[in-house]
Amino acid sequence: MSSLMQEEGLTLSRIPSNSYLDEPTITQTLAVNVKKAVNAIAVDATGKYVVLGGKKGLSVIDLDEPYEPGRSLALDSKQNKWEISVVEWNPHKDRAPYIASAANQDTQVWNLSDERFELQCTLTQSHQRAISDLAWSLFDKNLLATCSADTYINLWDIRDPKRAIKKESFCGWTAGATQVKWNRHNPMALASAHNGEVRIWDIRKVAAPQTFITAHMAKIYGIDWSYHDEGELVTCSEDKQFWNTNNNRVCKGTMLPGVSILRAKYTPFGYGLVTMAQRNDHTLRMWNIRDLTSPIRHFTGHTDVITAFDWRCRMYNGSKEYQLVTWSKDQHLRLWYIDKNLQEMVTRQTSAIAMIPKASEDDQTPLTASPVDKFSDTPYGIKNLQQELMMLEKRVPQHIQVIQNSLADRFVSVRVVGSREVNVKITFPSLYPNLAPPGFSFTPPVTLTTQNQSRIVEALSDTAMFHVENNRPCLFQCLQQLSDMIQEIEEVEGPTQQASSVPRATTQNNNDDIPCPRICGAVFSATGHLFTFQNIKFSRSRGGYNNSGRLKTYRDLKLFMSKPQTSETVMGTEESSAFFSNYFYSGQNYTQHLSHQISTPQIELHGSNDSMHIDFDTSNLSISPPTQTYSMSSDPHLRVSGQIALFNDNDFDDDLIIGSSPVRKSVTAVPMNTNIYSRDLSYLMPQNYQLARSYKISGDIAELCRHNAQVCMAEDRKDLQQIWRAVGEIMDPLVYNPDEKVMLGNIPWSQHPITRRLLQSVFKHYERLRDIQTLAVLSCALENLPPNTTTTTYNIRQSNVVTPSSRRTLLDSTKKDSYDKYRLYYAEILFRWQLLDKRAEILKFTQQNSRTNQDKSSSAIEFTPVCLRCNRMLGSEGNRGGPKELREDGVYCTNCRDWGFKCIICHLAVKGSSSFCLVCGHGGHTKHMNEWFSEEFTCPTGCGCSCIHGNFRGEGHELVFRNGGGFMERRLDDTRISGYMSRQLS
Amino acid sequence: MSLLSSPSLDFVISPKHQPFSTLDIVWPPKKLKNGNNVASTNQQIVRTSSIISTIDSQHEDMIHDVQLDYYSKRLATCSSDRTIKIFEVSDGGANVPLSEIKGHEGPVWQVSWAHPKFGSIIASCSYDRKVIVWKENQPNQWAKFYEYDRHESSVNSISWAPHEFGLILAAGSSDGKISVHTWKPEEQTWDVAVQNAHTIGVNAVSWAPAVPAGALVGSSPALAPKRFVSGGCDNLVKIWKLESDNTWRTEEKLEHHTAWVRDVAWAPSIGLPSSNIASCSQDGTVVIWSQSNTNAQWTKKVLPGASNVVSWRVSWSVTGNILAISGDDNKVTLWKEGLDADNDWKCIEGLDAADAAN
Repeated sequence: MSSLMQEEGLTLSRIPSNSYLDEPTITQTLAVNVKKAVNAIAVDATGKYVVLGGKKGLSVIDLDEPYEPGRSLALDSKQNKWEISVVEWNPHKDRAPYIASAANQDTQVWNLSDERFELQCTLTQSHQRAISDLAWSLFDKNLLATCSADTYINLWDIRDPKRAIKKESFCGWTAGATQVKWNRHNPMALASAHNGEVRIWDIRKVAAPQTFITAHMAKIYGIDWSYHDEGELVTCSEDKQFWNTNNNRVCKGTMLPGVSILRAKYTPFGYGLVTMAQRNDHTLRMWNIRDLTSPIRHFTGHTDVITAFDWRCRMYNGSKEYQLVTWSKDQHLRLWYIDKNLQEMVTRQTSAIAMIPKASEDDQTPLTASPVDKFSDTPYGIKNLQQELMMLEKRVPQHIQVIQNSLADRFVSVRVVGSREVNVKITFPSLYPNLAPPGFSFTPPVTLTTQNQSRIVEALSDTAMFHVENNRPCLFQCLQQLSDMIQEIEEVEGPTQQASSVPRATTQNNNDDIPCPRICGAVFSATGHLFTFQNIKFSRSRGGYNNSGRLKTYRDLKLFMSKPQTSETVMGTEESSAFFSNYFYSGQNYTQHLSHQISTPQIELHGSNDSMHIDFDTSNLSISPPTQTYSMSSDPHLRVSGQIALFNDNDFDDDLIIGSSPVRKSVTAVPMNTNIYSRDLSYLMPQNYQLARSYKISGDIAELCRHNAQVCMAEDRKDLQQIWRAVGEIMDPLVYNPDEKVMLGNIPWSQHPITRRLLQSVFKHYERLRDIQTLAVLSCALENLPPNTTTTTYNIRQSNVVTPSSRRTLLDSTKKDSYDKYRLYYAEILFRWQLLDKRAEILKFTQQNSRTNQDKSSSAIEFTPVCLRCNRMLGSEGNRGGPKELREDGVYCTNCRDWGFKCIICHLAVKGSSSFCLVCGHGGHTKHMNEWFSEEFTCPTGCGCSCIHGNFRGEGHELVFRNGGGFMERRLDDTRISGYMSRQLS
Repeated sequence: MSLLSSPSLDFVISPKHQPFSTLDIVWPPKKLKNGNNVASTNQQIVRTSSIISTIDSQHEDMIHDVQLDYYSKRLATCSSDRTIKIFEVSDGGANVPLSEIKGHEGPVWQVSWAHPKFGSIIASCSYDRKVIVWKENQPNQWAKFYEYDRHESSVNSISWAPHEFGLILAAGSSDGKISVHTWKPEEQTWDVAVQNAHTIGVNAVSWAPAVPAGALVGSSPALAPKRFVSGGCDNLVKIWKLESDNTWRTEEKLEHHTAWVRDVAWAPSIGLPSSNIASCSQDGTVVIWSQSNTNAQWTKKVLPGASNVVSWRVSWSVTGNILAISGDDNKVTLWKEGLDADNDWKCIEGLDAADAAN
């Protein structure tokens, strides 16, 4: 059935003898590595044992001797194929060795007596589905509550352990129970969580819960009863967390949303709360429930998600000490001592709690006095702290100065030597270096920002943890890292910068995340010039490896710039040698031809100020003659240096320091070019400044085209000249197609239907070229109409009537908006060129110029007919059915299935030209209206409206609209009328 | 009769004159011969692209950005020496240094000129985590107009919104966030909206033009929605849109690059319905993303033959017809969309970034 196996699954890398434990573990912060899969932990009533329940069974660890292997109970995998999901000690002292555990549907009660697990009873098939939680009654030592996903909560009487009896059974009916907890004050009250609801039962009333609290929208993960208040409980869930008093079901407080909390437990002291996040968080947080804005303490140290925690409390030295026992997926059991200070913070009732800063990790590893260590052998020959401290005197990392060390008090104070003073105190817990990391704290004067401090402490703790997990001392490594980090911070912030002067920018940027800045680039100007710069010249070495491919981040660049480059990385080919020499010797009288083949081991350069010596110690560099002396170029933009860093250490990282030095000579190992070059690429641009100045856009179209063609010719733009000539011919009234004369008569090309298509094609072409200038100028020029030579109406087969008399241009009227956009954008280019007159000329052609700049409603009136029967607006929207074209014109009412607009005179549908009165809305066929109003002044319906005076007076606007029954848009620049004008016909 | 039965009207573009194909109008229209490849690129460049002037920036450290003002009269440069310098540039080659702006406490990565209707304004971003807007109050006297220091890491890129929207600045930082700063002229304050954009960091931002691309014919001339594109260390190019509830949302995630996106640039619109975005990445690819109208799908075209070169920067010409790509092979390549059926982008020029070859 089940067998007891000692030491199975519980492994410790080192087992120190327990004689060093002069102090009980209750006041320490410890970590124990247990190589087991554990789902649940529980601390017994005496605070001596912790039980770990998991896949393989149960194991018990004596917390007073945490490094001793505990007792394990491996469950027989055949009979117990389920993992233990919940364990709970009996909270009553006399039944303390009783453990209840649940695995799937079974509950088992064990007696841990005589160092053995003894199965008391199995509550087989106690539930139909997996048991989610169980709880011992705090008042009746024989009472155990279990709850399950089958919605039931069962109460068991295990007075006679051999025969457990199901005492009561409550049913939640609707949802499975996830948690069950006994009230800490009322022996009859039991709370259970079902989805987002909490139900509070009186165990004497089985039928229905006493109270329902719909606490959350999401599933409740955990509940806990308060230690102080009978009616208070905490619930935690995906969405938020809050308390309820079950008396009146009022939510007393809610934690900030955003974090989903898996478990929350009240602190047994004070008014605190400890929460465990559900995922992605390796930290436990302690809160004061009176101030939920920020936690008062983070318990950081686990390297994976924390899955379970429990309280341990014991009497020690006459006071009650508390410890938090946590288990994480990183397979560490950690004990966190809750010192009096922290207890005080939780107990305190003032709002000043919020002011207490986030505690740093070092508080978690309090200094504990301990006599001489009795460590056994450890790696690196360092056996104990004493040896390590002795070692430190001999071997100290650079920039680190040991100020004070005390073996008796187990601490070391160090100072980082540098431009700023940084003092750090390192304290060693008694167990160090066995899974107990040292604590780090800054001592005054503190010159670092809090951000930097916490960053450093975090990094050091990580390093320390890494070593002590393997029971290795870590002092030297930590100091080394401390030194490095301070150096790094100084590099970035500058040596003298005070934290207060630049409050936010003081912490260091992570250069690994910052992309390598652009060190070359090209930008176009509005005039078609291309400006380029390139600070560093890269080359490909022979293998085709591109050395700049490494320059992904800013750090890469800094490394690249600070390290003297070998010829392999910077130079390497003949081309780059030429480049190199160019930079080094430009402007000098060095005219020697460079040969690729002559190998040069050494070049000497003598600078004008300092004697510089550049030594390229590879033989690949190929500059001849072998050795020569040159004077350094004084050209200010050629900033060249070789391994100057070797001679002047201070300047080495100069470019990395943010300081305020007014004059800084950049000293880098790579030649740098800070020139900017400009090229005239306007010949590649479709737009041309000279053309813009000379183009004509209004006037006689034929003459205009001739002029523009000449302009293009002068600018050597034959392509544009041709198009202007072609347009000119199209627009010339005297040019026509002789082939078609017989059939159609003398149709000028401007009136020929093919012309429109041609022009559309031309526009399409220039759109593809993105030649905004031609598009805009052409569109403007074509607004100029050719002189009318004839008023004849031509009928070309059965196509539409071409009416030369109308002032319609050859442009595609459906693309007016596009033309306006071209003009607007071209106008902007002209503005950039400061050809303001030309710009104004172009803008005159934009129809919507006023509309784009002003509110659209201020300059346009729209009319829409309203059906006289159903009063619906007959616009295209909302008017479905019927012939499409009629629908869009608003002539046809689909609701009434009839014409919406009928002439007031003849009572027939109006489809063509219509007129109506703006005042009374009556109207009809233009012809009828004109006839009527030629003699009359009032409305033909007899409505009494004096239509003539109402509409045709004043500005003399003609309200005669073509196309359809009345939908017409008309711009009246001098009006400010907007909205819909509706009409009604009687 | 014959005229109307003619299936289509065409004109021939013959590659006589580069860069612009000549337009030979066949008139009256004749049937074109097959195989007349009208847009074969012909590299017969008459004019040269040699350097016409050199500006000695006098910077003491690497230059990271140069930008011209609206009129192309003044050039702003920024450098690792923490300064911004302004030069007057002219075609004649007389390049006069005008002023030097100090105030950043780290290398300055980018500068950007605002539209002149707001005054003479420059924005800059730096390694020191700040975005600073400078205003020229007196000629050549630049003063801090606005400073934003809430980014938690280096600010890598800034971009002014099209002036039609007002004075709006977007900044992308290595803390993964993009902040959008809007000047409220009535209250004389800046409104800041910050959103997470790219994990690890944002490397580039670029605004969409304000002219509605592909607005429907006859529709109201309202401005296009505010949009910008960003590229970051999550290898993505993201398009952001200001939604009606005044929050920025990702409209599109464009996936192609396999390494950090180094630069993105939204091409200027000249009123054409299509939008183009160029993006370049640490993986050596340069992609042109295009959208035929505002609601269409984005399609990508990978520029060929640039795979060995890591491109640092992409820059569009004023009308968006030419894309300049500067890479680490010391060359600036100019690319143009071809006129043949598949509209492939072709490299038309390769220039040296510096004059070292001379």
